[in-house]
Amino acid sequence: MIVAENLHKVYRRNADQIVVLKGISMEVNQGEFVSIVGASGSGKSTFLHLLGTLDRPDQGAIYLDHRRIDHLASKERDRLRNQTFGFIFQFYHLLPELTMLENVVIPAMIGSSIWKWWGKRKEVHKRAEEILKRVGLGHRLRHKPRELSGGEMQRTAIARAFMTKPRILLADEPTGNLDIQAGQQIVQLLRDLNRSEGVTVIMVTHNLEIVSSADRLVRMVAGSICEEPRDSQEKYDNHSSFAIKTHLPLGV
Amino acid sequence: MYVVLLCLRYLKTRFLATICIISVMLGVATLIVVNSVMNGFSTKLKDHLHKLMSDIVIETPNYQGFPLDTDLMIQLIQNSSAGDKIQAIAPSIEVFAMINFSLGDDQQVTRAVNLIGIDPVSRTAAGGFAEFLVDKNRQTNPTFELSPSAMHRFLSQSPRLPAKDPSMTTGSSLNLPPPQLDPSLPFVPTLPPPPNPIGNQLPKENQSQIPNDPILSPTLGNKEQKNNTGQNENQTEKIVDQIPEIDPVPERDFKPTGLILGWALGTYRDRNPKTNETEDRYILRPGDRVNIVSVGAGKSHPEPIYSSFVICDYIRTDMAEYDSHMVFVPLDYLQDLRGMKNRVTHILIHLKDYADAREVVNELKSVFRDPYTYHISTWEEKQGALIAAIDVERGILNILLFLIIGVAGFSILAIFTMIVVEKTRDIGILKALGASHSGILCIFLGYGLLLGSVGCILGTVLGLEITTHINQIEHWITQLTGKEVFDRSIYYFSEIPTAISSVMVVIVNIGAILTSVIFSIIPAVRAAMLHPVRALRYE
Repeated sequence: MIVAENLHKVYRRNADQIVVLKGISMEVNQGEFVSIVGASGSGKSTFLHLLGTLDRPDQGAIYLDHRRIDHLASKERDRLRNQTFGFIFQFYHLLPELTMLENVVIPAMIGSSIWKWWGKRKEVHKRAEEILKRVGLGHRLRHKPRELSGGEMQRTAIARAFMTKPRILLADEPTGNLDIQAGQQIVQLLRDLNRSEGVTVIMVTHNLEIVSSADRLVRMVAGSICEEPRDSQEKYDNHSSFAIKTHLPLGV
Repeated sequence: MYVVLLCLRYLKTRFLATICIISVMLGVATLIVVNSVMNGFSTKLKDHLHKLMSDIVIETPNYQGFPLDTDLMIQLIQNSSAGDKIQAIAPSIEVFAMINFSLGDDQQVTRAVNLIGIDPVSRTAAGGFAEFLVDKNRQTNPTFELSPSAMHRFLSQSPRLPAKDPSMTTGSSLNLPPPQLDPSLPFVPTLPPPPNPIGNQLPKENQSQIPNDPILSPTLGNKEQKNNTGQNENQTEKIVDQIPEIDPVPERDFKPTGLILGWALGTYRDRNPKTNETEDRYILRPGDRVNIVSVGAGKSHPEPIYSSFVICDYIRTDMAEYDSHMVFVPLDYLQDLRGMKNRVTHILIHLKDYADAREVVNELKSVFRDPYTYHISTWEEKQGALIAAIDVERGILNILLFLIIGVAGFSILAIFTMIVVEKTRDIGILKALGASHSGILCIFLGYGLLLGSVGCILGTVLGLEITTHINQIEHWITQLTGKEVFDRSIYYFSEIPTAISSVMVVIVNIGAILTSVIFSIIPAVRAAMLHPVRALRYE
């Protein structure tokens, strides 16, 4: 479904060059739940941004359904981000001026012209309310982000990401800012949506609970994919080794 | 759609937006207030000038007047093709003169004036005369007759004309009620005996003889006067020698000749120490005598003429220039005095519709072909330099004031730049959700438009409110600071004149909104060009 081929990315600042990705290749199938783990600075988030067309690779290519998407024109990349990809961020990134319902509705608004919007706004609002109820926030529709807890905000961000029925969900450390219990709820929610909606989830995380629930695990070290355990049993066996190799404390 | 939603939400929630709105609001309000006041001054000035000058003026530089008889000229005008468009015609004489009067203790005051001879009825028909007269009764019935109270004052103050002299009842209704002077206005100097430079030099016994009084008989220097001087003949002759002969005028009944004096000539402005407000104080009142020295229309060379008049009323136009120079006297009397019977120097024409002015001027120019002797112009052409100066002044002021909007624009630029920095992460989120460059651009341009519009609406309301209540505000500021903002002694306006032009308000609003949008372009472009990843990572 989505294929990354030999992706390179270098950040330049004056004379300095920071090589972030060193030829990453990966293929993710429709409906897969893939976790990417790695130490800070290993290039996980950059890889996710490249997949989500938020940034362009210096070298390599990305294909979606055999169509190259990394060098598309700006407008088409915008449309892809709006229609095909859904983003979840560590710091939720909700718009503080808008209510929960409006935050969820925003992607649908972005994807519609004013005239189209007036035609379908009731339907969109209904869907947004349904999604919010599904993530357990039916009672928080008119609340502003500042009035909600971190877990609630992240659930709203997930609802927003699902609003336009994306095929691929890109989650950048969605539990990184939450406590264990809230993190588990989020992971469970993502897994449910992955199973019920058939949406592909590619998630960067440090959370070993998520690692355990993922279909596939990808470990990145210093801009390269260094290991892909083949099955779940091996993943569990390697919990400790992951933590040690990626310099992460256990249980994070 | 999200552009509209975010613009509205940013407007409601951003403190910086409030500052932006205030800066636009103040700029717009200032422009509206200043323009309205300038417009008020300009409109009032033009209005007054127009009223005072009538629509079209035919004038001659010849001090002897037009070569043609007045009746013939009027006939020619009426019979011309422009005759149907003319509402009223008023012949008049305008000549420079000196007015002289005494304030107690032999203090003589002399001022240069513009002596205007008019027929009050026809001049009123030509517009811009009667409505400026201070005496309300005279506004409906314009005349040079002295009011009973003025006549009483005149008689009571004349040492040679005892108030109850039965001989003085001739020609005027002297069944006098007590003087009714306006008690609200303080009269400062006590009026001296009637000044008469010539009369004062006559022997006292002669001064008591009515026929010698120049006010009763303006033919000073005629033979009758010489005969009446009796034993002081030599002295009188000496005086007579000083006065060139003028054309004899018909013998009149005893009847003081009325004069309408410019308001600023007979009053002065002073501040009341108790109320700290300026008020007019009379120097002269109706019934007081003044002397006029002017130039006669001698055939070979200009000759001085002298006469005395009694003030019957004031004309108050609120135009300092006019109020301090205009003196109206009866046309026929001035014609007699100057020796230019049935001749005038000016013909004022009031049109049925001022839109025809240009056409009428052209038609009259074809009737009176000599452009030097018959100078025909509309009032605007006659005052062209002044009107142009006002317009230029207003234009320059507007340019300067639009710099205020420019300052507001730069504050918008600064504030918007700050808002863009503040909303960097939001921009990243929106881009991640699929918002295009143009979408982000539209958010901030729309935001600028919205801020400008709200600022304009508030500024317009504020500006109109200030303009409407500017006199109360001025009064309030004066009371608060103790310093008068609008010095009425300078402007001769009792109130700050204002005129709100809807076109001006619209132009100011459009200008301010455009400025807001233009100055928000740079921050908006910067926002649109933000890299989504960098924006998301911004802290």
